[in-house]
Amino acid sequence: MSLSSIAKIDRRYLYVLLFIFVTLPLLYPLKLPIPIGEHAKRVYSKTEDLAAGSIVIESFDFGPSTRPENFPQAKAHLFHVRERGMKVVALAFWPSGAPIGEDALRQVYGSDFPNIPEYGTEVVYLGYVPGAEVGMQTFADNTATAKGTDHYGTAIGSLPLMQQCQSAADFDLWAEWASGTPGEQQVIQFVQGRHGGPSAVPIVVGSTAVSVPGMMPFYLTGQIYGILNGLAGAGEYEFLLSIDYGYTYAQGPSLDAQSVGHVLILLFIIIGNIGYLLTRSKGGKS
Amino acid sequence: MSLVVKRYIPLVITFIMGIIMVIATYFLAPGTPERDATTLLTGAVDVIVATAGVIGLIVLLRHHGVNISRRGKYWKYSTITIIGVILYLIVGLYGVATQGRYLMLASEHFAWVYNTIYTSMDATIFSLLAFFIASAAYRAFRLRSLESSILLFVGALMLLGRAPIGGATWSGFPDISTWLLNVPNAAGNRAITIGIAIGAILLAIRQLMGVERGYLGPERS
Repeated sequence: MSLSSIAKIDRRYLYVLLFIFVTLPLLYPLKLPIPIGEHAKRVYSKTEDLAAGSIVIESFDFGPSTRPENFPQAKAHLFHVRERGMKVVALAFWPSGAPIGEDALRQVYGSDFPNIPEYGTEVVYLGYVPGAEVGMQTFADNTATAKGTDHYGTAIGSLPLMQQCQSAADFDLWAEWASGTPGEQQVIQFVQGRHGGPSAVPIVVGSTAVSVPGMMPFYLTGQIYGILNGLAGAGEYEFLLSIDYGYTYAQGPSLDAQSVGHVLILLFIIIGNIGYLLTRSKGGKS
Repeated sequence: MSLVVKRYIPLVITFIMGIIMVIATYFLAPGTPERDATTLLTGAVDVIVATAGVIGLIVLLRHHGVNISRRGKYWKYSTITIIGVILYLIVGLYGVATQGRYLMLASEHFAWVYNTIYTSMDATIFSLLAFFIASAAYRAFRLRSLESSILLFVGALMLLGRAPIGGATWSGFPDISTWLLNVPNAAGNRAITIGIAIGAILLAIRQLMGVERGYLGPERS
């Protein structure tokens, strides 16, 4: 096979190669060091700076498709918030995010959740809040109007934490775990923008890597305080937590697989271009 | 149905509701009784969405039912769609009936279907993207022109900068990728965002004024 014919290689060979190269590091981790970026550091420092007893909204606005990226971000942040003694109001504006949110809470607060002593005073799970961005707006204006009961059918009025969390004026931090619409831009527009701006409702976001470029204008203006960028962001946050709180840094093998996958794609690109340039130098059509 | 019912009444409702929301957003402070009144109004969206959901279900069943009865294109997929919708509906309603749950999502039967079927399928479909992206990158990232060459080099830098192997190879890769995100990418995205926002404002004004009537369906059916 000549180099120029490489440009026309059957894509199924690429699929097989990618599968093998992504699987191997999962089985035999390379243990590559993880660089900590400024975006993740800002999420961490913002959470560290909040006082114990602050009310944090944890919004699970993603589905199973992006769970590998969003879930470890949300779980690590939830752990951080609990360790710092903050109060959590968790919810989902995506119906498919509601079971995932419950899973994260169970992994952090224990498998008996919501049958734990601190439920209702330290943590509440509202589950799915309907209405998408309108639901966000309603929740920020008046939490009880947006959702009359929690995920388990308990009236919100009977939960002490929800009496302290009646509107956006009571939110100390909004942690948005998002992979689409409604997501961080709707929180900026319908919650932060209508209730005093970034200083009144600070927002930190965990998102899929593919969505992060679109968030940068909001990050640079301070509307988004910090970002966990995809799987790497989750790994960075876990690593920071592992230093201060002994949290398990579990994303190593996944990030190794991602690293190898990226290098393989780069190799594909280089080989494809060699083939393309050789074909073009011979006057052929690529 | 008369023109008044089909056209004029929806236009008047749109105008009144739109003006109320504009006033609430720009002129009423949070926490005032007037603002709280509009919050109740936005809560009514849930009722409208729920009604639309039922209509959507009927339309979906009708569309695929007709396709099956006529043995139309991909009618077998239509069968799977109908079976899926009905089964999930039954499971949800069964959960509510037997567990007395307020919400379907909290029912363990509903959760079982979600965790064992929906999650697996959704994750699988999304995971396939990795293979398509690898293949597409191989074919699309070519040194054809100056623009495509810039795209290629920036893409390569981002690939290295956003994975640990980039930082392990050279500590500059993560910094470069962060700079690319913070500066050129933000500039382009800001322009796009502002453009979309201006377009959305204009569209909203046109809808409020009754100039843009596309959301009402075709003028003559």
